[in-house]
Amino acid sequence: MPREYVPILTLLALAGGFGLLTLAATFLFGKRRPTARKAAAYECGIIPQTSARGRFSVKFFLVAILFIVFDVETIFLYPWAVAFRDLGLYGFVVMLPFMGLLAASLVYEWKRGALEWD
Amino acid sequence: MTIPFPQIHWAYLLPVLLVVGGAVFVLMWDAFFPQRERSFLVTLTLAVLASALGASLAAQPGSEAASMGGMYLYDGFTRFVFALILLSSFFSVLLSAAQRSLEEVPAGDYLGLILFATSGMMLMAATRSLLMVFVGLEIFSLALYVLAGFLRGQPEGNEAALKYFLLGSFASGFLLYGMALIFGATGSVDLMEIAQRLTTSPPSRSPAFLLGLGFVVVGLGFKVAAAPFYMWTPDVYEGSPTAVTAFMSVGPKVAAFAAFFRLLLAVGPRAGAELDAILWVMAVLTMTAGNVSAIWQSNIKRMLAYSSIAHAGYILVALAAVRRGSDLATGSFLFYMLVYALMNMGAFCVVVAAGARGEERTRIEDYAGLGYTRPALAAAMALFMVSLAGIPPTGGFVAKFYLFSAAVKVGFVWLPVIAVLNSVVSVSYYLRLVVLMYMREPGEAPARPGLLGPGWSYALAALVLAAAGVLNFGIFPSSFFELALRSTLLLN
Amino acid sequence: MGGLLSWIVFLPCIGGLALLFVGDGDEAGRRRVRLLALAVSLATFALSLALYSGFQGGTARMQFAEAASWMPQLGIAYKVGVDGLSLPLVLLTTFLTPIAILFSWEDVGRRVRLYHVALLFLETGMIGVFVALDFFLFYVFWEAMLIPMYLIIGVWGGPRRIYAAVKFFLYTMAGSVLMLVAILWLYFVQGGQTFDILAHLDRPPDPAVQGWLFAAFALSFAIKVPMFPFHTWLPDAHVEAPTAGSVILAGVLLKMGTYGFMRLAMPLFPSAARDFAPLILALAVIGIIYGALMAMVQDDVKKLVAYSSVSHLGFVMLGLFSFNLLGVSGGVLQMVNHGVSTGALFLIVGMLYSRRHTRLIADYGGIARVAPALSAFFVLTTLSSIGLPGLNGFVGEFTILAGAFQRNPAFAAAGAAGVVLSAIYMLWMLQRVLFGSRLAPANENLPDLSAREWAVMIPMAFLMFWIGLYPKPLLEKIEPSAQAWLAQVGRRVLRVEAPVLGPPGGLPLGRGPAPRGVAAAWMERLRGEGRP
Repeated sequence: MPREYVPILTLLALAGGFGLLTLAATFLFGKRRPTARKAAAYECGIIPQTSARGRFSVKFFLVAILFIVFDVETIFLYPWAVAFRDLGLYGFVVMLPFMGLLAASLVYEWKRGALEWD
Repeated sequence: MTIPFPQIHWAYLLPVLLVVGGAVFVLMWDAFFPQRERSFLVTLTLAVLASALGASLAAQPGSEAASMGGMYLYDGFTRFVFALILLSSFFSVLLSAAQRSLEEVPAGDYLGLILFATSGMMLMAATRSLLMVFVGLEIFSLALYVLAGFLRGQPEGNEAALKYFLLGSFASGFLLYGMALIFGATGSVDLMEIAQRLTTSPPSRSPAFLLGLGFVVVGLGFKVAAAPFYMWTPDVYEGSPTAVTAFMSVGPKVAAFAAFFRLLLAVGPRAGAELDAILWVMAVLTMTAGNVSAIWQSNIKRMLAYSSIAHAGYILVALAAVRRGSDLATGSFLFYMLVYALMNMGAFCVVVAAGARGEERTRIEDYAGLGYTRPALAAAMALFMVSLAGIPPTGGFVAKFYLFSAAVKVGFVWLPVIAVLNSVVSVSYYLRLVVLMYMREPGEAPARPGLLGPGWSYALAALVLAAAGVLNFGIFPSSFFELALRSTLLLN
Repeated sequence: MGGLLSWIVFLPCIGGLALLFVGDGDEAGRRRVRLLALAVSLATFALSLALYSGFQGGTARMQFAEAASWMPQLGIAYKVGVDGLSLPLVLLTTFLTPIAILFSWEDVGRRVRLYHVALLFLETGMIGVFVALDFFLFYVFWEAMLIPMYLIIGVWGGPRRIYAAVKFFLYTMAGSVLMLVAILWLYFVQGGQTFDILAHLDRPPDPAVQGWLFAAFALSFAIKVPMFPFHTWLPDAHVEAPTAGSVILAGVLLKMGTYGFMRLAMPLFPSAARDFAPLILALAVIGIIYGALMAMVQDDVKKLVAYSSVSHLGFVMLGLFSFNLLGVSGGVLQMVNHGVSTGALFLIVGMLYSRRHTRLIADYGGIARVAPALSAFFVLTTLSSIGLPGLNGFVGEFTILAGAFQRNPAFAAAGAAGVVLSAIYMLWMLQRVLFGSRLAPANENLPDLSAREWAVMIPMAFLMFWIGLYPKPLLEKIEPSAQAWLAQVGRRVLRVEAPVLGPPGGLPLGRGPAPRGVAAAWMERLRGEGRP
């Protein structure tokens, strides 16, 4: 059985080796002439206005986390919706508690004020 | 292709549904009526746990134990483990209600998390599928990470939560990777199928399978705080609120050991002698490290943390016996967990009850003279210490006796010898507390009415329940041991 | 309702539980606690007297046996019974406990309730050890008894009490846990699926493993006895314990070690016991001599008595491992004797201490002039301890030495040297404490015995005379069991002319032919006849 993995291992070695080789080659042979522009943080090609290490409100994190949670759950809904007809009644019934929990958590966040900015 | 309705035994599923439903309800209630009395939510949570306990005791496991393709398994073992988990949750809710530093926290969130954690533990124990083991583990772990740092103002709590989270996620990774490797080697995540594959074609020698098994052992070993994966335990136990520490020292261990147990029952006899050696070494290291480290502690929560590590070591003796096919091992394991839950919860309850408002009595020195300032509390503590040390006529002794019996029965000699010598070592630190309580005079007069807050009745109930249990199991253990023995598994 | 024996075992425990509900906040409450504890212990003693009178002599059977199911899954049952080997020890326990409570009347002034609860629980544990006929039950009592003793030393003891209590606990526990594994091994590997001690006695295990099992049992008992290299906990525990604790410790707890050898270690593993006998005999003799020499150089009376215990218990071991009837009967008797005379010695030391608050011999001298009654009892007890004919100590020591002589004259000679040494250190101590011309000013107004102390000492003195002059009734109950025990241990029972034991020396109340029987057997040995 291990033999089946030989191509994968070969590919792994080749890919990794190529990467390492490129890095090593540029490090060894490349010329470095740093300028202020080159050393600046890359922000979509726009010249940065302030330091990238500034702080911003924790509320952004909250929204981001809420977004991720519901986003992942929505992604879970998507294949279910596509296969809805094939899954039949059972598929419908098992999704109800899931949706219920999702709704409950939304209500909870809402009541707790997590959705309000101020 | 339509999926047919699977057969679902609602009576079997009811305990879990009750706990999850209760958790959602508690959360919602607190979100809608945040100003209401806290004691209502506490009572409600206790009622939910009690009714789930009743439901699981009422549901007699029958022949159709497995439903949903082995994802949910309700057999005698599950039933007993459910009772253990629900009992430990019940205790920790009582303790939480009694602990004064937890009075200000939002009760709904706190209790909801405890209930969610409980449901995760139950799911982890009630399954044949490795995937469900992982899902259950994650459910309760996430809840516990939050609970560990629930007192946000305390830096120790933050440290505990972060440490627990980082190391716990790392261990989860090991566990999941190990499961993936086992799946790769055997083609299934169902323990029964894995066992069958191992008998028909022996891939048990394949490196992938052994590596996977090793990783799973690492992941579960982390959750039960077995050596050498116990480093997080003292810090997390010390930093968490005491009621949460009590919960962490029992519930997750029961669940993780239950999963460990099912795994070993399925693959153990076919996995070869390597596992034997690993379990042997783990058991010896765990109990020795726990006991020897506990001697030097000056903080009672750290001491109890190391003591719980040592007890995990004793339980690993039962696991080693299971691997060798000891028919006593299951019963003695369940009985041990039952007694351990009671005595450990009792000890933490004394820690909670001995504290005064604003400051907990966490230094061991704080207990000097407690035998004369608060005799009943000290007597209870002495009882739990004696039981933890395994001295008759307490449940701790009988539980150890059964455990070591199971090991001797399958031919272990040195393992029980090392274990009993470890018990002697443990006596020195358990009795140190008794020495302090009874043989030293009290220091500067302690705030006597430490417990006269609204929570005292909860603490009293927990103490009486635990003490009565510890004594009863020490003197009349027979009927419960019978029950534990009869909680046989479907797997075998 | 349970039988007589169960009542004797659990009555103190029930009394202790009842005590928990008696307040000890004021003087009247403390008095109530003491009275109730005394009443319970006296009732237990009365029950044990009923046991004694109901006990049939002439048989080795277990009597008053009771059995009840306890943990049927593992074949564990509640089984108790007494035979001639355990009966004297049960009586000793129930006799010494009321004495200890009576003595503590004024001696223990604080935490009175806890003290008496511990003492009564301790009594249940001790009696339980002597009557248990199930390994599990035996082990439960054996260990459970540690906690109250630990508290008694640790809470009411002297300045270094915590050290002594912890040392006592750890030593004893370390010894006994290995016994637990050995018991489990017997159960599972030896088979039979029972923890019944009597059932296992009939089936000694394979000689190849007997050595290990014997070692595991013997270690726990040797620590308890204590035998020579394991004795270091004893002086600490004795010196720091309150007087009543010392009395119980010396009187009963040490006997649990020798009883364990007798009831379990030797008959369960006869061939291993024989293999280990030279080692144990040697240790016993070393203990006799070493204990005596250590006692000689002590300047603390209590420590002196403690080391004399090491020496006297060496005699018991010498007797048991002689593997003959003389040695064994003497050993059993010596256990009781040591309990009585050393217990009485500790009581007297306690009385002196409560008067002067010092235990140093140098602080006394000339006490006989100011406290004649106390001194008289002191002299009597000392003489009993060193084995003066006519008092209890003599019978035991003499028979043990006779038994040891049959086995190996060298051991007997060494043991006899111990007797001489004990006479030296005891009488020397007596001389320095009681007599001498110098009477320190602090001792001039030393009060003599109070009524309560008379009440404590008279029963002790009565027992010394009784066993010394007329041991026949007691011996008649011991002897058949000792015979059966010897058969169990596997040596040929020495045939001697009937009644083997009696007070030698032709004392008027004793039985005439007995000394001749002993002597005849002795001569027979010497001439080499009937050697196995």
